[in-house]
Amino acid sequence: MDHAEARERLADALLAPRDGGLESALADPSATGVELRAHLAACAPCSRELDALRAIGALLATAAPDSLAAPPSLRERVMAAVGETGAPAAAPIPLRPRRRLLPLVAAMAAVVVLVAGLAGGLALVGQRQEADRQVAELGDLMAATQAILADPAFVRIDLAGPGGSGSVLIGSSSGRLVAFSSTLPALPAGLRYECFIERGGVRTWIGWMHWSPDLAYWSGPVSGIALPWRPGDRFLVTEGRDGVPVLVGGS
Amino acid sequence: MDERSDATLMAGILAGDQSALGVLYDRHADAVFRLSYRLLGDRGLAEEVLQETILAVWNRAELYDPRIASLPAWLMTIARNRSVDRLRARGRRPALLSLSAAGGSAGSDGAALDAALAGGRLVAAAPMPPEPEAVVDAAGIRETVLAALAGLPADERRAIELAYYGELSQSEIAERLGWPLGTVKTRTRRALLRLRGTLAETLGPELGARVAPTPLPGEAPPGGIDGPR
Repeated sequence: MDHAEARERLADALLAPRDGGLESALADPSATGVELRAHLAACAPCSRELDALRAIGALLATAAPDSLAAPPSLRERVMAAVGETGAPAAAPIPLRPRRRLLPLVAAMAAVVVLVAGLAGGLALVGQRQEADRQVAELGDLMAATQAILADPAFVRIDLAGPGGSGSVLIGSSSGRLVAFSSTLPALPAGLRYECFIERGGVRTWIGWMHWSPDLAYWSGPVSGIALPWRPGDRFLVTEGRDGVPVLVGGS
Repeated sequence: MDERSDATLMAGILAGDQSALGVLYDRHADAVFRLSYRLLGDRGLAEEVLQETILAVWNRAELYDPRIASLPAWLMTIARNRSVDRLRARGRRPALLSLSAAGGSAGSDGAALDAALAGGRLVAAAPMPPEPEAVVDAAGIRETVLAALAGLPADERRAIELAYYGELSQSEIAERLGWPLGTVKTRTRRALLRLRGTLAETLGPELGARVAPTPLPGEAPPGGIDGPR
């Protein structure tokens, strides 16, 4: 793939948001995608062109018309997700006991880990604001975990390695993923635990783990690689973007 | 149309009334979605943020204090923070946030993010920004982009708007406008080129340089000599 072809592919992808835009073109598993990635890795000017197109995309988004509306089908999905969480909390502590017991041992294990992390956080931090932040984040993590467990096609992957152990839960139909570990040691400032999915020998970066005392976790929709999880896929957690894996899971 | 006030709806939500949440959704979802999309530039992520915002309202309604902020401002603050979290989680420099929130200075991304977040972290944080969309609007970026779009030839503007905001494929644009497919391709590409040129000139030196076309290896930089004739 030469410069002109790479740039044309990127420009076309930017203007095809329904197909996933630039990020989708970059993750394209086809031969074209492989060639594009190889060209960008070797060509600094075209790599800068990609950055420029990303900036253009962000700029165009700011000018989205006021007529832009949420997709009508989203309302039903959101209200269904609300129904899954049960009644709202009456007391100002978000991590309340859930009305419906989760059906799986895995889910219970996840919740125990989360609550343990939360309790540790509250005892250690001692500052109300920081505690609130952690409660909120862990509450989100629990909500995401429950949403994934409600997915009839969710996948659980156990992680193991020098960093101890952890778990990954993937909602195959929603594309959401939660990864967490309560055994990873704290890292020095400036270094983070980074999550990757490896497919066909190619690593796709998913994101870096947030840190609450005793719990490292990542939660969110996966972009950059198509779900569902496939046989042969591996999940990796590394120390820093270029570090060696400390946790690995999957076949 | 349900005429219950936002305060009444919040009381209903606190009591576990899902229909009140549904009314709140109908009233505010589009604005939350739009803000998230403008920040993230990705519909899928904006949908996620909207869902999380509504879930946050349902799960933490007791944290809402009408003496601190209006309900729309609270919703926008949640959505904005979730959007920034996503930008951060994806390791992506939040281009517009940093430039506008940091007043255009070339500070570090982290400092700019912190400045952007100074209005409050998540729903429990008390201070609210005076205007949530100020993050995007502060530097007049949106107006500049709107002006650049308005300055395009009408056919080119139509093509790029249908492609980017309408999410139509080039074939669908061709069908809708009755243009040959080749014409659609030409006009969208020209529109993009022209837009970049205008934005590079009007956005100021720092951001302008970041959107200007990158010269190919061996080419003169933009604005230089045209080359041999």
